[in-house]
Amino acid sequence: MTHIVGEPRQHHREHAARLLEVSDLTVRIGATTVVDHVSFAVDCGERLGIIGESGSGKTLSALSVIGLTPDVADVSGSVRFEGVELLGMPDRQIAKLRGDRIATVFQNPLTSLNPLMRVGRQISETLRIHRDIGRAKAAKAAVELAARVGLPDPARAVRAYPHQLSGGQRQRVGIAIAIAARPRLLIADEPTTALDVTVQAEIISLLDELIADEGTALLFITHDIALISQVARSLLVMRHGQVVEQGGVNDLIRTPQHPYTAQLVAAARATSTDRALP
Amino acid sequence: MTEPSTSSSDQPLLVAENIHRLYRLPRSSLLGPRSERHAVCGVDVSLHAGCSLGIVGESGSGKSTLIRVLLGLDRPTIGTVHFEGRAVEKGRPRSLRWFRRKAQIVLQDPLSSLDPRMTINSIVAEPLICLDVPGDRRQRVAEVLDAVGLDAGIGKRYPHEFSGGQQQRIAIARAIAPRPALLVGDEPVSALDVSVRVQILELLKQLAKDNDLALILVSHDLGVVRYLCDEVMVLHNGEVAEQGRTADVFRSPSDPYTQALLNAVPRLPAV
Amino acid sequence: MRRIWGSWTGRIGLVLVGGMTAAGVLSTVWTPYDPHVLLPSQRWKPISFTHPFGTDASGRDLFSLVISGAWTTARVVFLSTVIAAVIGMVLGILSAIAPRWIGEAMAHLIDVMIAIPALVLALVLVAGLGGSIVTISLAIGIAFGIVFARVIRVEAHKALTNDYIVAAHASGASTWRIAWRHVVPNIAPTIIVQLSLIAALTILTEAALSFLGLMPLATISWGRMLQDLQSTMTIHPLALVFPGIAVVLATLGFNLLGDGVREALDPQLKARGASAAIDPLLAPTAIGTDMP
Repeated sequence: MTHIVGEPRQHHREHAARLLEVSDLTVRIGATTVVDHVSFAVDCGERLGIIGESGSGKTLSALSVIGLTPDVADVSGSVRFEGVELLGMPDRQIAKLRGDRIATVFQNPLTSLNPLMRVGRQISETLRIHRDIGRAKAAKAAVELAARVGLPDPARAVRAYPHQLSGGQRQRVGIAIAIAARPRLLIADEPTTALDVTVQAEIISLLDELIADEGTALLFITHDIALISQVARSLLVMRHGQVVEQGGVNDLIRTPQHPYTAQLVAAARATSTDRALP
Repeated sequence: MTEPSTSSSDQPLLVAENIHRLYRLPRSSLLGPRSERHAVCGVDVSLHAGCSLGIVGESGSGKSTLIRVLLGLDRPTIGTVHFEGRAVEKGRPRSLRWFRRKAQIVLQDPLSSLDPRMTINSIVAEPLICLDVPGDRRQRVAEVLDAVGLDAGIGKRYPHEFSGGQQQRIAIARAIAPRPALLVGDEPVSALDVSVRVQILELLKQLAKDNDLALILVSHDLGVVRYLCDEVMVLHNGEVAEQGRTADVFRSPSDPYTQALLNAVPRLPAV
Repeated sequence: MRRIWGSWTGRIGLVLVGGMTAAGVLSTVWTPYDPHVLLPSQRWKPISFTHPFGTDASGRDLFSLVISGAWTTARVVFLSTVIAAVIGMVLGILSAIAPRWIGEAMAHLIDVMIAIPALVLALVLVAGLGGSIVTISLAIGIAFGIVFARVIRVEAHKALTNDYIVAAHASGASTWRIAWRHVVPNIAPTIIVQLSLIAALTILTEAALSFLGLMPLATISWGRMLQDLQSTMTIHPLALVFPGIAVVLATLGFNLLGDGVREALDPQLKARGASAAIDPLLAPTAIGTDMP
């Protein structure tokens, strides 16, 4: 495994507190409560999935963790990361965490990458922000990262602009940017929704590999219940801003307690491609 | 799904032969020929009345282009399309009016497929007006709104007042209003929530059965195609990788691309 | 209309435009003094109760002249705006909806024609057809209409990329129906706002053209007044102020009205798409969007 720039992380639990602890998170936009008293926790190395349909509040919950909610949003509750309360922290302080200890991979790689900047520079930018290293060293690290995420011909790939890459390749760049500073927590918000299914499979297995190697915790948000069953170990089901059910992924899918969860599972089974079915 | 009605002749409803569609890309250099993109390479389609065909492919497979050619919204570089024996060619709207009465489409994004400035009544009645369909229009609008599970009273409202699933129902109502023989769905459920998808698919199934509709469903989602279609055609880079009865293709795909596609789809843990 | 009144800009705009139009209409039936009659004995009277703005070198009441000028301005604005609207919409929408070749050719033609300034066009038309409210309005209308066409073309192009246009094609709609029933209503906000801006510019242009003497002698206009009074500017500077301010207020009025209309339409659209404003964050994008 290539040794990316940065001190080696400690994988064992340092604190008695959990890595990420969200309690009673509530987000209001105007008169609407978009996230309603949501609570969940992620331990080091754990994989938690959040599943919900549009309007469920799943994306806003995740964005609240890193303080990226829209200005008009009114956020209350508690978000503790490594024991430190993030809500109410001035943006400059949270910005230090973003990309460094908590990284995000977004849904649409076309819009989350700067179209005017070569991808290599975007990868090394993360490193230069969070680590005090020179341009040359960062550039070299960017090439290593490009190789790590499986971009073909990494030395050339880093010189490309986003529009010159395919959707899958752009998402790989997004992942490279996210893991560059070896974060402790990776938030992936529908990272494969806009990709073809064969590309999705590759990206998922890439994420799987990277996370297992580093022991990163994963918060994976999606609407695809079959996908989440392959990615996460625990699952949070959200609907209309509320947590409807949570537990182990396989338990929830095999024996859903809440009717909404049952509905989601049934819909997924109806349109599955399971060859065993007639 | 339905068996083809016994009264239908052996002649297929829609026949497309050797469809090729080349796009000439804008110049990248001043000298030398312009490069071409071969979006569809030699695809044949044959669909009988009352049957259902699913066209599966990922992006760049040519499925959207193929559909546009089949519906006369685009001109193939090579190849012909015939519906009930008559040629279908892109041209002036009036020349294809006979075809538009018989073949309708439901698009992917329900909100953008409904004119935001028109009332539901006007939207659903539009094909009736443009295609000069005889009969009481108001009654037909009420009829089709009811058939898709919506209250006829919503006619005076505007598209943005409805949910995605309801908007798609309205789009479907518009499509079946002129009593077509063929309904084409271009990713009709991809933009909808998962729990709503099954409802819409069921609706399409029911409507096809009740009205003896032939169905062509274009989708990247294999599960959706499996739910609705008897036959399936897998497209890859503009060519047909595999085609046949859905059950057979899914159970034992012979083409490596089809196999890769089926393997890539995430599967729920078995019960 | 109510909504336009609701905002301050709209309110002031409506008052100014309304005031100008009312004054103009009034002048057709009554003015304090006949603006055409020259009374040398009354020249350069100061501001008084009988002459609110004073009189000019020929003894004509400036107040009567100003409100008569308002009528000219009102007619020119109306005519020009209508001509610009027709030219702009026809050219703009046609070039957006027409098949490849024709559309592109028209677009390039429009771009070339934009280069012709209203002033030159006006001079040519007046030389050929003689000066009158109609010729001047025609010149202004054509010049602005072409610029308008370019804006309309862009908006129409955008509107045509929507799925409901494809659906209309599939429903058998003719090209004319698509243009009239689907494109125009959806670009209406842009059209209205642009037209109000054109109206504002028309006033300035008309004043300039009249100042240059293109308006016939018999027609009273603010521009001509400025031209007349300009020669005695150093001796009687105050007189210039009145037609000058009239031009400014009228232009301002239309500008503000345009703003007010835009504001009035915006919340309407915002209310419709309020959920859409939040949704992009929450809704997943369509799957399988073509990614090369």
